Amino acid sequence: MKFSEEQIHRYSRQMILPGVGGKGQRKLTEAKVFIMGAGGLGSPAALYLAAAGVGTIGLADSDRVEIHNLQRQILHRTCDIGLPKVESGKKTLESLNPEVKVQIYPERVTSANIREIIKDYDLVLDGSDNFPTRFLVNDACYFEKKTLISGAILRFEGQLSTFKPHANGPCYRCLFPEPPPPGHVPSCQEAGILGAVAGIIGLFQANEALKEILGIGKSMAGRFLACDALELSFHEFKIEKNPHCLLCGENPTITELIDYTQTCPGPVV
Amino acid sequence: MKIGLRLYGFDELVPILGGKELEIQFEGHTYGDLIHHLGEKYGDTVAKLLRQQVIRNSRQWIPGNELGFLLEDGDRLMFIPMMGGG
Amino acid sequence: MDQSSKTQKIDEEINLKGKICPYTFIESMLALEEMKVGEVLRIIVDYPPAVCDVPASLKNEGYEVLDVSAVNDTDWAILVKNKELEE
Repeated sequence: MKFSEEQIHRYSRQMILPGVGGKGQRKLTEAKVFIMGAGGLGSPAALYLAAAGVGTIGLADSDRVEIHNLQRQILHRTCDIGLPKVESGKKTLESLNPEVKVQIYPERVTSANIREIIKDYDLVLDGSDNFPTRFLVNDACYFEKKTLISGAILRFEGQLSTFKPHANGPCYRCLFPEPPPPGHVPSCQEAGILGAVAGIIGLFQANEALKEILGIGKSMAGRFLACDALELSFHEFKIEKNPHCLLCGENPTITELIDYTQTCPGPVV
Repeated sequence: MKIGLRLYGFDELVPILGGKELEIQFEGHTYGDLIHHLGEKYGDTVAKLLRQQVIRNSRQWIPGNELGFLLEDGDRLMFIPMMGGG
Repeated sequence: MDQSSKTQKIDEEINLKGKICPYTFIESMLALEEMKVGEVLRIIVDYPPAVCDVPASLKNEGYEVLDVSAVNDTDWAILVKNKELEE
C-alpha cells in the first residue's frame, strides 16, 4: 500500500524508528485488535493503538458511561454520560484517528457469542472488570488460538502478561485456575483504583500489542509483571505452562466455555 | 520449617500480619501445610484470602489449588493476589 | 549533473525538493522498501540538513550510501543501494 502524505506526516514519529518503517506501519494498518472492556484499561490501550494507526479496533462493553467512570476512563467525556461506552469510545477514537475502523460490541459478551466475535481478530486485550469475563476471554482465546494480552488492576497495583498457550506458553488459568470464591477478593465497592494506575497498565497492554504486531522487542509471553504503583516497583516472574492446567494442561477438564455467575453485585472498580 | 513470606497487595491483611514481610515457622512440608498453619494462627479468613497464587524464590509459580506443592526450608514466598479490576 | 550519476546505473529517482526532515528520510525509506535488492535509488533534496541526515539515517537502517553530491547551487543528489534487510 502507498502511504498518503497525510499518513506519512501522521505516523512519521514512529516510522523513523528502527524496526518500524513503512513495512511496520503497513503491519499496523492491517492489524485487527479486539479490546474487551472500554473502561480503565481499555481506554488508554485503545487510544494509543488508534494513535499508532492500528487498522481495526474492536471494542466490547455492555455498560453505559457513568460519572464515576470519568476519574480514569479517558475514552469518555462528561457529555457522554448515559451513552453506551462503546459508542462514546468509538466517537473518541475516530476523532483522534479517522482512519481507524472501530467495530463496537455493545451487547454482553458470553459463551454464546465470544468465539464468533474474536475469531477474525489478530490479538485480544483483556481490560475486563470482573472475573467471569476474564476467564471467559482467556478460555475463548485458547480455543480460538489468539494471543491474549491481559491486564488487571486494584487500588494501587496492577498485573500484566501476554498469554500464548497455542505457542506452548501458559494461559491465564495456568496461574489462576478458577475464579475466586465470593468474599475472597475485597468487595467491589470497597476496592477503589487510582486512575493513573489504570493508565500505567493499559499503556503497557498497548505497548505489548504494538510489539506483537511489529515483531519487535521482547514479548511478555512467558513473563508476568506485578506493579506496585505506590512504590513504583515492578516484580517480573518467569511463568510456564502448568501441566495440571484445567484448560491447556495435559489432562484438561475444561473443554467448553463457561459463563460463571458474577461474584460481586456490582463492578469491581 | 522456616520460610519468608511477602505480600504483594493484600493491603487489608497487612495490619493483621503485622507487615508486608514476615518469617513463618510451621510444621509440615507443603503449601497446604503452610496455609493450614496461617489459618490456625490468624484465622480462617486470612487463610482463605492467602490461598492464592505464590511465587517461590522469585522464579516458580505455585497455583493456589496446588496444596500438595512441596516447600523447602528457607524458601521465600511472594503471595500474588487475584485482580479482577479493569 | 553530479559525477557519480553519469557512471552509476540509477533504477529509481525521487524528487524530495521542498521537503524537510524527517519526511525526506521517510520517503526515501518507503521508496527503497518497494525496490529490489541491489537496485539504486537517486534522491534529490534541497533542504540542507537532509543532506547529512538522510544518508546517516539510511546507513543506520542498513542501506549502502554510494554517493552524496551537489547537483547545482540548491540541490543535492544522494545515491543509495538497496540491501536485503533482516526481518
